[in-house]
Amino acid sequence: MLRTRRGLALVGAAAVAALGLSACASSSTPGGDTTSSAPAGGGGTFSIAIEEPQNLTPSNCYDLYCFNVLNQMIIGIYDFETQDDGSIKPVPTDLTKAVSTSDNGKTWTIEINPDWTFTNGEKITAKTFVDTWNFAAYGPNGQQLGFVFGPSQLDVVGYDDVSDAKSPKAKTMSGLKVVNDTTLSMELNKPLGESLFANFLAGPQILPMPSTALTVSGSEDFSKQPIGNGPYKMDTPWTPNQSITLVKNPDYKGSTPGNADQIDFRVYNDDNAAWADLQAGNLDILGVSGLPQQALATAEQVLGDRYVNTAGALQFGYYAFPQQTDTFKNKDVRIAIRKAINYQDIVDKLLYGTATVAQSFAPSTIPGGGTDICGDSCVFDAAKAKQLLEQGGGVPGNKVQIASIQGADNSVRKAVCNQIQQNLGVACTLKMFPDFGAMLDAYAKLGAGDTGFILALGWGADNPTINNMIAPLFGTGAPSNYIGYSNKQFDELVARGNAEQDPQAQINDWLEAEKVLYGDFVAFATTFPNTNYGYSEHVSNVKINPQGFVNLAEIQVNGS
Amino acid sequence: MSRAVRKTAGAEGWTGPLLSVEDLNVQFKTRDGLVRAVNGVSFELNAGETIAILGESGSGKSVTAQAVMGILDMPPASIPKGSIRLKGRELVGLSEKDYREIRGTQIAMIFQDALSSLNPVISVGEQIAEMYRLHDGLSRSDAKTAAIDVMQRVRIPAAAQRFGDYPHQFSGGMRQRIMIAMMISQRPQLLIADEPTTALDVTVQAQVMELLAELQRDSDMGLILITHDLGVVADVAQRITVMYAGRTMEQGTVDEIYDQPANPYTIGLLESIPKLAETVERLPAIRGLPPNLLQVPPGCPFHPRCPLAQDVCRRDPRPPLETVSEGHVSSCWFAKEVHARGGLRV
Amino acid sequence: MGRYFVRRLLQMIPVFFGTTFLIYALMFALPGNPIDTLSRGKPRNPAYLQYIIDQFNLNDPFIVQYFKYIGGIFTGNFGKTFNNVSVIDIFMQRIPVTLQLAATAFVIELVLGIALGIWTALRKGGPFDHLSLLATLLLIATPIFVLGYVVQWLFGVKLGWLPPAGIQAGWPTSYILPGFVLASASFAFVLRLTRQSLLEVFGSDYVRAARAKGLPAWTILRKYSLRNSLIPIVTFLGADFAALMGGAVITEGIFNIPGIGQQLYQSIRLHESVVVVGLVTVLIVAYLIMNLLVDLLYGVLDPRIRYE
Repeated sequence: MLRTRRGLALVGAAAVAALGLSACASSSTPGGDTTSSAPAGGGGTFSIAIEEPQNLTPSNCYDLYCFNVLNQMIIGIYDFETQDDGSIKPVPTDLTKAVSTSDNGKTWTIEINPDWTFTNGEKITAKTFVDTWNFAAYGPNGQQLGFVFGPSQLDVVGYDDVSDAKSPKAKTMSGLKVVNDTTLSMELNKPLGESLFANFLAGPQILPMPSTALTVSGSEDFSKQPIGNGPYKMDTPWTPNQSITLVKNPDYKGSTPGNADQIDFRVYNDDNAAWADLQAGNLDILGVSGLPQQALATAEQVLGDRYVNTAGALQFGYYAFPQQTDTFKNKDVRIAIRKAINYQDIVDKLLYGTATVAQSFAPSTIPGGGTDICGDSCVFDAAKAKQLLEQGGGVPGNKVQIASIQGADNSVRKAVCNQIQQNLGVACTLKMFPDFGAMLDAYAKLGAGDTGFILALGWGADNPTINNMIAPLFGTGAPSNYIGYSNKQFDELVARGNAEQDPQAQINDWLEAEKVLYGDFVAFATTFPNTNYGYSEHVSNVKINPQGFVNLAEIQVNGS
Repeated sequence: MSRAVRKTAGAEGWTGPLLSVEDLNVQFKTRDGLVRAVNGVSFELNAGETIAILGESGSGKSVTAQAVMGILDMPPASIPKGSIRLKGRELVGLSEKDYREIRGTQIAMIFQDALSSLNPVISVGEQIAEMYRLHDGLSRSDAKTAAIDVMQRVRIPAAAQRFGDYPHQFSGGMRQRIMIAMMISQRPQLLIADEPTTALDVTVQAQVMELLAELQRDSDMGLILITHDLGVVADVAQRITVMYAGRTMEQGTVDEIYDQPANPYTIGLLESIPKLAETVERLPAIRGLPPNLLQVPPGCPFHPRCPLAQDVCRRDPRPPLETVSEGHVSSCWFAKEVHARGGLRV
Repeated sequence: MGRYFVRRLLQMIPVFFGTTFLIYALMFALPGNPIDTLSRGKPRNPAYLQYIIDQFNLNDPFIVQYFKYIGGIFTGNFGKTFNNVSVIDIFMQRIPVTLQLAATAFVIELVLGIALGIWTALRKGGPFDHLSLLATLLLIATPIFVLGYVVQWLFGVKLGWLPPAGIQAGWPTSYILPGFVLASASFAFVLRLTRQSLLEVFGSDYVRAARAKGLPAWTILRKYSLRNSLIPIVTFLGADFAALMGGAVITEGIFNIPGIGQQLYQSIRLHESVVVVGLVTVLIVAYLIMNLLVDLLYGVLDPRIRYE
């Protein structure tokens, strides 16, 4: 040890240097791992950055990433497709033969094509679907997406009997029936318009699973290496927190097989690291949930055409007022606060233009979205705001608070607060909570006589319908109705729209419901973030839709 | 390099003194200024002779010894003036490489605290054996044998078994013997012993001094004994140099200095030795403290503490070395008077 | 020495129990609860929440949960995350990653730190000495995330010499940048410590005596200085290795290394008590083992230290 200490120092240093240099020398792309190479027109491998999916079980898949993966591995009844006008619509898949209703949306018949199999050989029949859906809805199985079959969405007859977590009355939903090998029928408690029905059937919970996956432990095993019928399959179980590798499925029966031979999903826990990798050429696609904040400033410069920034991701931020409290019980006061905020300024300066100011709860990429429902109440005007505030009698103590969670990015909220202060002359501070649950608890407890605080939340839609942007948040007793809002007129309009078969009439009903919302002005949407993403020189034809779904099968790997 | 060659470094057939130090000046550059640790010290040593350098702490005696050995850190120390000649060969300004060849082989030094001067993590045997491996080129096993031999020579019991023991496993006296063994293993011509017995108790002191004397007789080695202990000096040394504030205060044979000191400082030292035959209430001590070497007072450095100090003592120049009898010099304006009084109390 | 070793090993057992209990209690004391955190933002199926509650005994009182956990350990069941990944799988995946990262950082700080520490001690007061003191001061003062992002950008993106993130390129390529960042403050410390320790030893009496023996400078450095100055350095390095393993959270985040640090951060946020307890216990055991090794090493380095 003594003799070689100095020697060790030099040898060690030399070794480190040599290894570092050899790493550079041995690979054409820095970092050593080839990200993509291919002959033109198909084949090749590319990589895409994702966050860790919670699991890869369709009935339990509650995040964007698992759905992006599963979407390539399994096809179900409907698939989301981006139209030429940029809006997203569900369309039947190659597996689906026909979907029809005879009684205006209460009972549905679904016919599938025969001869489809899973990659493990099991045939896909109507029973496959019925079994999968019963598994998802059955309470004790604890599948997160089971609620889709329940009153908040499809509302299948017999759901209540199976959904109880402890002791359900039945194991299967009585409204689901296998008619024959290729036909099944679904009876709903309330009629649904076809476009809404199709939207519900395009989600991950509808995707079929082989029978081995239809137990709790079976689904856990399935999650490690899913078995599907889609354009891609997984040859080896994926490595949690590192990567998921999909390869082309040669037995795919659909009309649009994938282009690339292999897709590498790489898990990043820090999207700044992903941005660094993209710039260094180690990663091909970044942006399933948008580019990181620090990338926005230079993305266009660095990527040029390969940086895409389009309006209307299916998300919005919204602020809600506790109207039972003294501070916010006057509607003029609430509108005054909104009118004092210059969101365009915030979008330009803080968000580098990657958002649009919201005048309604639905962005333009949703059919019927992008209309101006809010009108003048959502237009920035400091002078008028001050007037309105005075008219409404001001706020006690001349101060307001906006709720925030420790550790979250508060830059936008701070900017909003500053604007309220500047433009309205009302002091504004952030009220910090340790986490989401604590914040909601405190909000629920607010009552008359309390000072209260403004709740600042966000929402991301599951499907591209106006319904999904407002009903779960504002419907009476709806699962994400954190603000306790209840308006019978709103509920009726939403329900009427749900049952409408004519798509345009459906949209109109929902727009009316939005008008009611803005009429009450208990909440307002703030901005719609843009879809932004970037990709490397090694791939082309990369599209990420407003929902965050990537057109993985269509991406082409460029020849080297 | 074999020993035979080394021994003849320096003039062949040199007949002069073994070591000759002339007007040695050593200074240290410190943050607070220039410290003049040694100011014009001169002495000579012949083979087989023992001289003692006597003085309080801060008198410059250790620095003198280290200057002879060449182990001062050369910045911040420097030798602006003076000469050190070993058998006629000038050592001041010698390259480190050349100096290293004579250290441990021709000149050696033992230190006051053997515990801190021995490497605590290496066995004592190894510390001795490495001298043989380095200087004589012996193999490991031969060096070990030679080391055990020299350990036995300095009378360390069970030397062979204790070869692998560590310094902390020995008593103080044993450790000093080990250091001696280590340093005389190459039969140096000059050994400097810097306070070799200060850290030991009286009986052990006597044993160590006896050992040194024996080694000296065996190999005709010159010994410089540095100490502040007058009692030890009387038995061993032939000549004494008394130092104060880096200067020679008095130099002469042991008998001369003990019987007829010619310097008030020396007298003060002699009087502070407790005497068996006397009972006193208070030990006489020289009042005051040694000077701050950054600011040595003008004139005689001892004047602030000297009972005989007059105006002339307080002014520059300092008193030159005056010969009071043959081979006996003293640096004092009143050297002759003090000498004449014959050692009475002043 | 053997008995001492065994005794120290046995002492780890009560530490293990004490720690698991303490961490479990701390997790419990954190504000919020796992159900709330899971529920945030999106409507959660009550059946799913019930499933989680049942699987993880979340409705049981603290003591019951703790004992069920300890009971599970004796059957080799260390629990699982809310995503059903077993904690043992997490150990198997993440511990080697963090070990590689910590080991890389450790080698850097050990080799570079000591080598440069020796060099600056030998050339004390020279330009290299001043330069390295300044550089180490900067390294210690710079927050690790600043250093991390700068290093990542400069060497990973701009110059492209090494991968800026991930572990695809394997060891050592992927671990060099994060290893250096992780080691930076410790390296600076080791350098200064080595330098200081050596300088002290240079001024010691036995080094002076070694010079008087005519020993050459290299021997004095090797036999009389380095080994004698190592004790404080070994002490620091021993504690540091365990700290490296647990403290890599920020570095793992910046460079996207799937190690223990990342997992701990996530699990604490999600209130996955079993994961946190399991990982922290591993870290503590690592720390105890390093401590033991360091103590044993003292005995080797300095024969004055002996254990019964």
